[in-house]
Amino acid sequence: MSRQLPTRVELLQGTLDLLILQTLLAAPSHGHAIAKHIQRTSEDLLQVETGSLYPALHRLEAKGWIGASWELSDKGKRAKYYRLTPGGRKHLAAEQSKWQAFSRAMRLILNPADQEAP
Amino acid sequence: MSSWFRKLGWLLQRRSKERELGEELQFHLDEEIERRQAEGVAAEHAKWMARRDLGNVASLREDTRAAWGWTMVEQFGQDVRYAFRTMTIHRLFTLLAIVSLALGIGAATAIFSIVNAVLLRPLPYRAPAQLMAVSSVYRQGETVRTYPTVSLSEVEGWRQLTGSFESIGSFVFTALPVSIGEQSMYLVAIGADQELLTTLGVNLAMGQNFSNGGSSHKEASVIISQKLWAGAFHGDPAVIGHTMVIDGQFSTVIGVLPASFQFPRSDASYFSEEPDILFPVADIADNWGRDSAQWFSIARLKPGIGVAQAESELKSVTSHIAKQEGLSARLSALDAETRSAVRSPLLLLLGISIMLLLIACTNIMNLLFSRATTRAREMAIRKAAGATSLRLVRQMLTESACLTALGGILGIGLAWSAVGFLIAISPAHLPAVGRISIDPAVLGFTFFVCAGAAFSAGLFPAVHTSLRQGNAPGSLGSRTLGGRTLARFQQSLTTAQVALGLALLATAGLLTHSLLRLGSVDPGFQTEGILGFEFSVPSDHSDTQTKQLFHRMLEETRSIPGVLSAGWITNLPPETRQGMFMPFSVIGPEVQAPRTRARCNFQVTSEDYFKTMGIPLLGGRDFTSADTAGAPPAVIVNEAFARQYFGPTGALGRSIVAGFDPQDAPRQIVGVVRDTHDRGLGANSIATAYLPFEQFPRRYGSVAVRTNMAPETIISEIRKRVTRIDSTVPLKNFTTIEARIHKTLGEPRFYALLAGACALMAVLFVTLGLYGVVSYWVSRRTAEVGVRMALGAPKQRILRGVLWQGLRMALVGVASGLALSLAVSRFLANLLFEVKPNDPATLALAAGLVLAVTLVASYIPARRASRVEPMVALRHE
Repeated sequence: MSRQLPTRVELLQGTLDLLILQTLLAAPSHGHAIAKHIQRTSEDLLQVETGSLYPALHRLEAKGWIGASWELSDKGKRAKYYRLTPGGRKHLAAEQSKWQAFSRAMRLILNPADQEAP
Repeated sequence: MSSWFRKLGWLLQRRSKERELGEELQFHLDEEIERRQAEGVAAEHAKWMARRDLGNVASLREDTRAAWGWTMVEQFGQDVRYAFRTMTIHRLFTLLAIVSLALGIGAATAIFSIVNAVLLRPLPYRAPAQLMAVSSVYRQGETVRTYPTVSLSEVEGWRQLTGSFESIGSFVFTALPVSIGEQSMYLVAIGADQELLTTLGVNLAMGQNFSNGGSSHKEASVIISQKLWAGAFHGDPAVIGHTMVIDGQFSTVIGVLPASFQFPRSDASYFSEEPDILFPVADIADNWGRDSAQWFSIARLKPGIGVAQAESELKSVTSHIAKQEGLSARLSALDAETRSAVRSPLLLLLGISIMLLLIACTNIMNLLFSRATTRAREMAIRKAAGATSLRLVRQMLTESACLTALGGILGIGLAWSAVGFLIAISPAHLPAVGRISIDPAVLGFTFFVCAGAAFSAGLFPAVHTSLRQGNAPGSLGSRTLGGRTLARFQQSLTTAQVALGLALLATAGLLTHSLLRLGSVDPGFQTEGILGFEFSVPSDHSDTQTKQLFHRMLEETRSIPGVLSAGWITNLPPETRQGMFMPFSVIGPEVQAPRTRARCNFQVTSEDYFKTMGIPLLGGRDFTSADTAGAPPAVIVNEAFARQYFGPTGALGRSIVAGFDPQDAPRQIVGVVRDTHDRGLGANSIATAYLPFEQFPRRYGSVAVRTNMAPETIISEIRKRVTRIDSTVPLKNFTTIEARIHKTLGEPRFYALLAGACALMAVLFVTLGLYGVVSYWVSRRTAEVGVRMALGAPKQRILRGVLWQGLRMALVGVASGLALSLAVSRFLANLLFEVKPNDPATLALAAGLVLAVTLVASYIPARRASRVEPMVALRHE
């Protein structure tokens, strides 16, 4: 909640899209659930701002990477559910390998000692 | 692409899109509240926390909407609405701007539609770039002359001996008496060989081409134009196989030309109407003479063969087969040959119309600048509210774009209605003039012109306004915002306008001056009280019948009350197109073997022709009824002929042998007549020989009738009498000589008229522009003027001061305009007749006119300034 807590990290520019797509890989979901999922899965390290979540969702929809439809939530309320499209799946795969290469490079440079670590 | 469509879809249903977003956010909020409550937070507090987490909803919605991708579109919509609101507030400004833009855009569009039809559209033939017009080049000593025509024997020779051409077609323009069923008419026709249509690559709309190639197989067939098919044959789908009588002989219709067909070289045709029939050239080849250079030829290059290569082969073959020394041939692209004469004047007109538009744009730019100053407060507020400079520039550009769009639409409407008028006043031989239309190419041009106008008029004022406000947020409402630089910039714009306006006026003035000069040329024959008409004798009449008919026709015409005299000639002047050029030789003591073979223009006349036309006989005698077929062959020549071939020794009594006469039948020159401008007032007289009708009978020609009544009143009487003699002879083109001269001036008049219209509009715009700038200057200095008057400055001094402001711009503008006119005048040189492009009188007149109107334009605001009440002015602040 409060950003000043050292236990929180700022989202890096451009990573939110990747996180959303990855979240939707499991199952279609609405905005609130996506945000909570990211927060929970990152052990509360990442907090998704509502102010950037919805623009991001709509942007991804405009690009055709995710699709949207109005469905009933588990509690029986109308909610806008997003799901991954085949195009989004492809994009996710590409972004994932890019990100993994990047994070490996970062790790190699920042921790020269565990070079051989898996 | 699919993403683009998705966004477009969203744009169309953006209301439901907005509602959905609201619903989505509400759902988020509800979930969050529920979650908090589940964590044990009290209901009220949970609500508050959830709202706090959601943050600024307005900005969230704004950001999300941005993801939909139509922020630009929405802002554009706002800007357009705002622009229209501004326009309705400033009605006078808007009206002035739109009307001047409409006039400028309309003029440019109309003139571009001519340029497009006449110069830009490809000729309607297959692969037109490979089509070449063949001309003959005739070298005699130092002088080299090029004629657009060649002889049929040459064409046959080229076909056999050259390898560079796919095919070579030949044809000639003529007019023939034709009867279709009960209707008899006199039609312009093309005598052509089979190769003509093959060479052009034209597919007939119906039927087929002639079956024999070359010029020696007569066949009684005819190919008709779409117009004749639709007219005389009422669009009969079974027209193929019908017969019509052409020149007294039955011919079968074998083909119909497509509607898009454009007769080649109509620009060089003798007749002002487009031809209606195509008949085999073999029918007239022997009669007209295969060796005389009166046939047009068009050749198609084989693919991969260059023009230079083909021409050098053509030249060597021609010198080999030529029966005449010094004869050669030349190739030129059919396209250029057809259009070269009209290219420079049309491009000049286009340039003029674009300059006019530029002046209109400058006016609008100046008005926008002036208004920008009064809108300083609005801009400062917008900026303070967070608008970026770019956003402000965009908003103001949208405003000028809206003005231009309205002007453009109105302009296209103007051009649309002008097209009919332009076709009506266009000179007869402007190629493809009937095809002038506002087509997609023209609309595209107009669109670019409008975009250019919107940018050129709007960009500077927009950037200026949006940038200034950053430095001067405190000076809301102050009148010092315009600044000195702006005033100077506006003044230089106005000066440039005056210069451009003067250059346009000078150009139009020069064209008009040249037209007046041309119109006042003494043609060498009389123009008043002479009526001319053409007729043609069907070839089922024998030679004797034809001769009798001629004599009886002339006698009957002469006996009409009010007719003073009448004479007959093959081509009644002024006739600017191709004449009958035939070879001849001069016989004389100093010219022994080899006899020189030359070409000159031949005309055939009856007795009394020269008297009727008022062409003075300088020596010798006129033809008389004694110059019959059996009498000694006689010829009358003009001064140019005598000068060229006999020099000062005198031509009278000397002899020539005409190419069509039997070898040893010299013709004695029995008379010399004065030169006439019979090929147009601007053209010099060429060597011409006149033959007596009895000795060289023709089946077509014109009668000149001199009368002391209004010429038009005797037309019906002539028709009545000729029909009584022979009802199968069609008469046509009853015109006075005056009207014929008027028609030859069609082209320069057309150009002068269009240039003049543009120039007058330009002067009007310049006047308005100058008036606007000076008025603005006055309105900004009302307070200053008030102070000066309160301190005792006399009215006259104020008046002079303001007047000087306007006059200074006008003087600098006029000076640079004169320099500009002189700089561009070389483009005009070819279009002017006996007027130098730097003609001082014309330039002085134009400069005087511009100065006078600018003086008036600055006098009105100056007078207003001098009548300012000091007290009112001081309270003006």
